[in-house]
Amino acid sequence: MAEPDVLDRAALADLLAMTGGDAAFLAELIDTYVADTPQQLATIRQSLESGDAEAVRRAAHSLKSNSATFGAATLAETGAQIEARGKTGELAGTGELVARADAEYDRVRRALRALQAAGEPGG
Amino acid sequence: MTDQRGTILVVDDNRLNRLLLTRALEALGHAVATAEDGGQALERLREGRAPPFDVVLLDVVMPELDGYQTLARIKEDRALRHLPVIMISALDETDSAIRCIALGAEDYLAKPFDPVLLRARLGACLEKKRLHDQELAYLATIEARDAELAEWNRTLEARVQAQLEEMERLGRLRRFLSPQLAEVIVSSGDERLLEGHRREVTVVFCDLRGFTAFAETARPEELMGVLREYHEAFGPLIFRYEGTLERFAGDGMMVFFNDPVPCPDPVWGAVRMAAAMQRRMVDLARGWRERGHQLSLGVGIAVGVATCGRIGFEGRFDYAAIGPVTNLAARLCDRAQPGQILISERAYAEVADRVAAEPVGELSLKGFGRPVPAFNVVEVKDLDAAATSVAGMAMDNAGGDGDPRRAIVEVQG
Repeated sequence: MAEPDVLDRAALADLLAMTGGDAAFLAELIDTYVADTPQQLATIRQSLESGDAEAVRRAAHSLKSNSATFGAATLAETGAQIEARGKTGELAGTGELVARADAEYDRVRRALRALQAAGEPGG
Repeated sequence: MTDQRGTILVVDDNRLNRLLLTRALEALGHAVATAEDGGQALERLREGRAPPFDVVLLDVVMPELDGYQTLARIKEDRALRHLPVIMISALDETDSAIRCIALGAEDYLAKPFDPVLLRARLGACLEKKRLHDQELAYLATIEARDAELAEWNRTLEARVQAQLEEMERLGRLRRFLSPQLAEVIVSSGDERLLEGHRREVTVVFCDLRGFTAFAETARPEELMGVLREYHEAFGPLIFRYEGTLERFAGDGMMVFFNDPVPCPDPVWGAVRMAAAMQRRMVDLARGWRERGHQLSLGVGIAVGVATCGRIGFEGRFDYAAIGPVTNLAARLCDRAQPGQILISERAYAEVADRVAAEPVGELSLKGFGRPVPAFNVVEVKDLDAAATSVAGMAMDNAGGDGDPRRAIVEVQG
């Protein structure tokens, strides 16, 4: 069951309009997001360790952008904060933001899977 | 208004965005291609595929070549500059998207995508691209027209040049051909007619009896005046009967028929020309006699094969017929009495039914081993006019007024 505060309804409505109400395509998008986001989080962590601010910025940019697409406003906001750190190069304390993003992503993923299940025929 | 369809290149390093945009654009009826970064995008744009792209959707934040750099490369490229580019940017990056517009981007599209805005902005870009394509097509039409005009000019120049060359050739040919024949040769473009060849020709020689004595005593201006009158009177006759004038040599001239342009009845042409010359000579001789000069015309005609062609050198060419036939005509001319037209036996055979002629016996001629039979033409039964008495002219030239036949006899006697 979807958690109302995790996914923004208006953004989801836009997304559904873009996909033309195609449940299979929405499922594909969710699969893609669920496949890519852990990689982006991993890239952010590794780049923080190596001090590569530019890589942090780009990965966080994608995290922010993709999360916003699904209306995952909290995660998108956290992504934006990490991206801003990457942009300025002030990486101190960013690890804390990444930990929050990890946790929030877990909630988003579950909400999306629930949405996916609801969209499937007979679901 | 129905939305225009186009071919759109989506450039985004983000797989999710590419998927989403591709699906959304395809749902609107567009053809979509994708690129994962700026370098790949430029590659695809320069592939020169058909149909070419109408719009580029370009992400700002990408690894390697980012949106700014890619945009700059597109706008630097003459072939791509006109392509509308819509920047893709997150909502909090509209500042950078606006910077891109200053760099030449058409518009921006914020993520997450608003389907209504996507459609509206794309529609505007496609319209702009369509107008630009129309402009290009129009320019291409103008260029094609310019090229066509230039081609016409070239053609015209070539034609003028060709005509000048033709006139030059015509001028050269007119030196020894009648104007009609010169034009025939020039318009056929076949100057090979002037190359050496053998052909049966009819050769006419004529000169003035009494000229040597006249030339010894006459003042130079009187001498040149007589020659000018003589040439001016006979030149048109040569042309009228379509003879080929080989040369003037003082009071003598050589004309031949059937070359370089064949004529159907060369001996007949030669004989009629000779008769017309004798006829014309009546007035000329009368005028000269009044000035105290006793001059009359003798003509020799022969038929035979000669070698014909252009002889001479650059700047001074003549068209000549060379062979025994030329000698024979010249010798017959030498032996012709005032007013006489002496023709060879073969020439006579050709026109026997159309002339009245009398045999003058077998003549011993220089350069000929055996005596040569010859005939004096006294009457030409010209189809165009009443029969012309050549002998009458002989008599007139001689100043007599009696029976023409007797005049002949008197001259011969």
